[in-house]
Amino acid sequence: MLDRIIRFFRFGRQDGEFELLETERGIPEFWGSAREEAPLPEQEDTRKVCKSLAENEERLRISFRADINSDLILRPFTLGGKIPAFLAYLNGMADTDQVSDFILRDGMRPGCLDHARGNLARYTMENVFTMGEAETTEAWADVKQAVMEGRSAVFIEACGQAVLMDTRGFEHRSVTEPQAEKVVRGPQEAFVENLRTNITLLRRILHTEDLVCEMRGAGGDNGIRLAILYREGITNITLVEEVKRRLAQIDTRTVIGMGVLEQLTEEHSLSPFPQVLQTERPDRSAALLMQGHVVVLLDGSPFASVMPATLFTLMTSPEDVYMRRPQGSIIRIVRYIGAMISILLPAFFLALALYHQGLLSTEVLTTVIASRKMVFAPIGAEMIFLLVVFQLIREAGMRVPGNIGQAIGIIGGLILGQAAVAANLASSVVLIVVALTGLGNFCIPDYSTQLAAAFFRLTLTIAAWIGGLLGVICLMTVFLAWMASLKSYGVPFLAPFSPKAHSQKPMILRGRLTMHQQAEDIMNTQEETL
Amino acid sequence: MLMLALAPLCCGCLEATSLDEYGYVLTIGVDQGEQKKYNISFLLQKEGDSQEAQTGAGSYIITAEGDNLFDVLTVVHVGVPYELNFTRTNFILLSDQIASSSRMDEFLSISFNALKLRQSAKLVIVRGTCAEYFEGLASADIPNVAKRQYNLFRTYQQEGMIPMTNFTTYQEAVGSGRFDVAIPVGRLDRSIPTESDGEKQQTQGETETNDKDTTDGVKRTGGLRSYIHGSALFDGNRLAGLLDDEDTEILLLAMGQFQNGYLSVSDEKGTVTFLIKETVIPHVQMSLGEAPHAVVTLALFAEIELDTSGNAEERWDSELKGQLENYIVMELNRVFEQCKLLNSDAMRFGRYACMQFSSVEAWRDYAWKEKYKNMTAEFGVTVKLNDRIISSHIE
Amino acid sequence: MKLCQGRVGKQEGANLIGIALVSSALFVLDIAEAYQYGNGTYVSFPGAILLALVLFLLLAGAMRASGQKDLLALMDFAFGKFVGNILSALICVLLFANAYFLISRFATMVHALVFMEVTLFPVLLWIVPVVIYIAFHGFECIARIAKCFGVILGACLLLSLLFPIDGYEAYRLFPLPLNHWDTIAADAFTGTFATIPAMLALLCMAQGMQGVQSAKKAGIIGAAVSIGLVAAVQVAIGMTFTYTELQNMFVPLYRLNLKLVQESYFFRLDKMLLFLWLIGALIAGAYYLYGAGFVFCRRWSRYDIRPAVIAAGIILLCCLTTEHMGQLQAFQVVRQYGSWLLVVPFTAAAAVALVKSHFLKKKGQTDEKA
Repeated sequence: MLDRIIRFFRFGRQDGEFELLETERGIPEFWGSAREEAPLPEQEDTRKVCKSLAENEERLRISFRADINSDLILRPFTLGGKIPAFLAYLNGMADTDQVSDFILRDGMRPGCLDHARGNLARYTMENVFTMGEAETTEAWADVKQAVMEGRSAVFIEACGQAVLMDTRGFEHRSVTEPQAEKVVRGPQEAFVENLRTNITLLRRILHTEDLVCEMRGAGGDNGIRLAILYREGITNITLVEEVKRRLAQIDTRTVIGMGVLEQLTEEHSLSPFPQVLQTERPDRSAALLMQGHVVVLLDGSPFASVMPATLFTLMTSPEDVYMRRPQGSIIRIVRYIGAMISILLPAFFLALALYHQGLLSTEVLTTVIASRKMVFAPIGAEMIFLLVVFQLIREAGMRVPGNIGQAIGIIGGLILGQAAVAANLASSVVLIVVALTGLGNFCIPDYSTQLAAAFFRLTLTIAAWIGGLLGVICLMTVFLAWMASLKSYGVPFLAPFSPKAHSQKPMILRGRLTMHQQAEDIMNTQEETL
Repeated sequence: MLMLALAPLCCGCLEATSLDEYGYVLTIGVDQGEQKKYNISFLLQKEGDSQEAQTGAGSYIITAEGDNLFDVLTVVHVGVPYELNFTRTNFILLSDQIASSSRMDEFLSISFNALKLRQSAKLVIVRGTCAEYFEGLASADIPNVAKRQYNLFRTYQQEGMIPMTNFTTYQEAVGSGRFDVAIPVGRLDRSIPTESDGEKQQTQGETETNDKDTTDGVKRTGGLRSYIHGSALFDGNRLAGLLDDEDTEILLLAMGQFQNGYLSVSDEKGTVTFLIKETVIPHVQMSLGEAPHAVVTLALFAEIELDTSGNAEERWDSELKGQLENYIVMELNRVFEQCKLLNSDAMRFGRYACMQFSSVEAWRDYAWKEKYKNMTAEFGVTVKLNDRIISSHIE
Repeated sequence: MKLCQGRVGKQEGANLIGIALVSSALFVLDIAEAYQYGNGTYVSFPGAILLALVLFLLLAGAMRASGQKDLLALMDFAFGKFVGNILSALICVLLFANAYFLISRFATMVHALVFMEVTLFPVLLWIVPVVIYIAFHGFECIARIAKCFGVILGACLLLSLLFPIDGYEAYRLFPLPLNHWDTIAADAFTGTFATIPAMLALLCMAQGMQGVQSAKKAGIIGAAVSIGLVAAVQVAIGMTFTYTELQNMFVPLYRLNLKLVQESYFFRLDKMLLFLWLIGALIAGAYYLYGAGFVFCRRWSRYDIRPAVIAAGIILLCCLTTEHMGQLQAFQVVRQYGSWLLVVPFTAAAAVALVKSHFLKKKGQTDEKA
């Protein structure tokens, strides 16, 4: 505790803020070397594959607790009818049809080792097993990792290497339409929980040879994998190295879901604004990849993390680019107006009602007074109460599945609201204000940004309650200063508006599609930018 | 961040008062008091009965006596369950008794800031009492009092019948000494029954009306009892005299605030009624000295609205144009002399005089109001006839 | 040493200078004495900014000629470390004083025009922490937030001049103070105490502005726009109120709508505009506070600027609270003599630096030839 206090008050900290400057030269290091040497992940197991088949089998039984864990399948067979071998895989993770057809049947074929010479593992990989993806390894840690992922390992007597083959065939969800980012015009595919499928979805859109996909562990003790995708030769190397450095520093028990990964790698954990864009759309991720962003996919998560993400990235809907320019521009303007209404309207109304009645016209004044005649709660409490109720209805509608969830929205919105007015728990004018706020909130495309807007809305409402327009303006300035100093992977959060970049693409209006030929200036890519 | 969040909470609320805890004063009326200096009336907006139905909306009046506005407020606040709020006050009415005894300044020296009373509140002089005038503004058809007043004055202003003056302009006139204000005059026509009187008449046959009253000498039925007629001319902060509505129109012509109005010219051939429009402010050339002299040129447009002779357009250049222009010049001269007699620079010639000085001291030394008594003015009027169909002039 | 300078572009710098100059000129210089001999403020207020710009260009030229990276280095180059320290202390004090004047004015405005039922302290407790917070985040943050609001504030200021256009009358500008041109010039010179510090601070932070050239461009653009805006505002005020009214009027810019008689919703937006101007004052105040802390840290501290900013903010709060318990005469001295304390030494510094660099260059050329 004392250390924390001292650290808080000690201002002589090193400058730790990362800035996305001009790109460095050279090929990015594997673990990233942006600012300091990142520690290599600890290799827990440095053993090598044994030449003794029995010992390999014993090791596997101990590692995977085969005495109580029935998932591990150890299938002995005779390779080519001559040499003992065994196959290890996890039940349910590996596709047994592939195991039977392409490993056991091919491996047991008599005469398959007639011309074998040299390294037996290599020979069998190249001449016997007909699996599409196969490699040899002598590292025991690789063998364990492969088996845990659903691949199969073949051990051969007197051979110090194992053959690892991709036999993954676990049950997974098929590609469906997006749940949170629905569009009218545009692809109807979304990411799924399978990492390989997600990478495939991206590669189907990006037929570029410079698209690099680096796989590594996510850093959690649960051993889950992630993929870092970027365009080699385009994306700023400093950015790539920074992403890798942050991922390398993850050392936690469990990494499940992209939300956890995001929180473990972001710099400003107290910021309500997200510093990465999480999307379930492959088309959106692909478009941002082409612009020089870095995409991270996590096994088991149907979301991709795109970094860096500015405010304008978060406020862009995937559908914008599929519409014509005038329509797209109008919808964007409406979206920003909706976001402003969502954040500022309750606070503004409350400030006027409590402190600055002269700004309201006489008609509005008399209407509000008439509507509040029998309402017992102070107007500030009434406003906050209705905002909380709105959040409750929203959360309930999201958690309850199917048609019932939609019905809750109708019940909550119409019946509850009307009943509250009739019961003098709320006034109709305040109810309308909150309803408009809710509609404006749904104009924000990104879910995390919607939650950030809810945070701002509530704090501004409280500030309006205790300080009127002075409180609203002061707090709004504080929030804007906060956003102005926020950076997402080195890119200022309000870029390219503030600081002004060379980018000629309009921030709010929909720019010409020809503007997408070049990356934005703020990305500092290795090629010429817009 | 924590300290920042705590700081405003430590300072507490900035004295919030919810909007339903106020009574909104739309108009203040100041009359001569019987026991105290002033009898002040407040016209307040009454909201509807509930949020579903807006029945019951309207206005009500609170009156009290006191030596100044704050004394009156002290008395009023003990008897009402709310605090009076002056942020929506758009009009301040003063009775002619108050205005002519130079007590306007005394009353208006209140702190507008302390009351949150906007200094753009318009001034009206009332013949009679302001309380009665307020009652004459009541109308069940338009429960929104502010809108009712606004529409009423806007109509008068668009018709070019009254000068609009607010407190800031009045202060400028009194403080700078460059001109004098003309303030519209409100009156009451007691011959028109109130809405409650009308109901009584139907049921009981009784009314509280005075049949001898008229609206500017004209019998009228229906509409509001209260109306605006003419203007009050001021000499500094003192009510100097009254002008009727026709003279007020002429005054507005000279000031450049005239919008449009009707003028009839009758001769043996018939009557022609013109709609006169003023679209540009008059051009004034001042020459100073012991007796300042102003040459005022007005450019007006006319449209023929009624022509009983049938050939007004043909006679325009030869007869009617000259008649009309001469008539307007004659009226301008007459009104100017009247203003001079009352020592009221209501035509605001002082504005042009001050533009000829190159220092503040020289302007002060000139003593404009003294020189105004000897001032002469020469008016020149040009009237162009608009085409009747397209309402604009074609050369 | 963490100075939180960051990297600031020309647009941000220009917006920041514009906001600082307009806020200071319109709200700090606007006192009753300015209207004593008629209304010449549409010349004297922009004149103060123009004089500040001239000194700024002189110093920027001297920095470029002598190869100095910022103003503090230039002072050392011209006069040596000891005098450089004294001049740095002067800049520090004047920047703090400008923050004080500006925030004091706005706190008084908000209190007197909006929240008159409470005391001043709660209003200060809302405003001052925000100023400290923005300054705490550094020059980059201040400049970026200025970029966010610069155009909006300028547009709102122009719109606020357009709404009451029907109430403007040229006669209110008369009588023109033609016989008092010397007073107008003196007012312009005296007013530089409010305009020069903003420009000097920009030169002190030239490294954060990515060089003297960038700082110079940003300063020129910001000052030019400020001159136009301030002149327009003062002309509008002069056409709305006579000088006799202005002598007794508090914040005439807030009351521009008062001469109008027709009703419109736009004419009730003066309170909203007041709070928009408050945003400009918050940014300008943070800039001054940060500038004072920056100069202090560069000269006398090897550590982080942030404690200096917080300390300066707390001293500012104390001064503002004390002001309303009794006049703080020290700051009135700044108002009277600040212009002399700024113009004379810094003009001398620029001149000495130019001469010195000229001779050094000649000597360098002679040495090369030899």
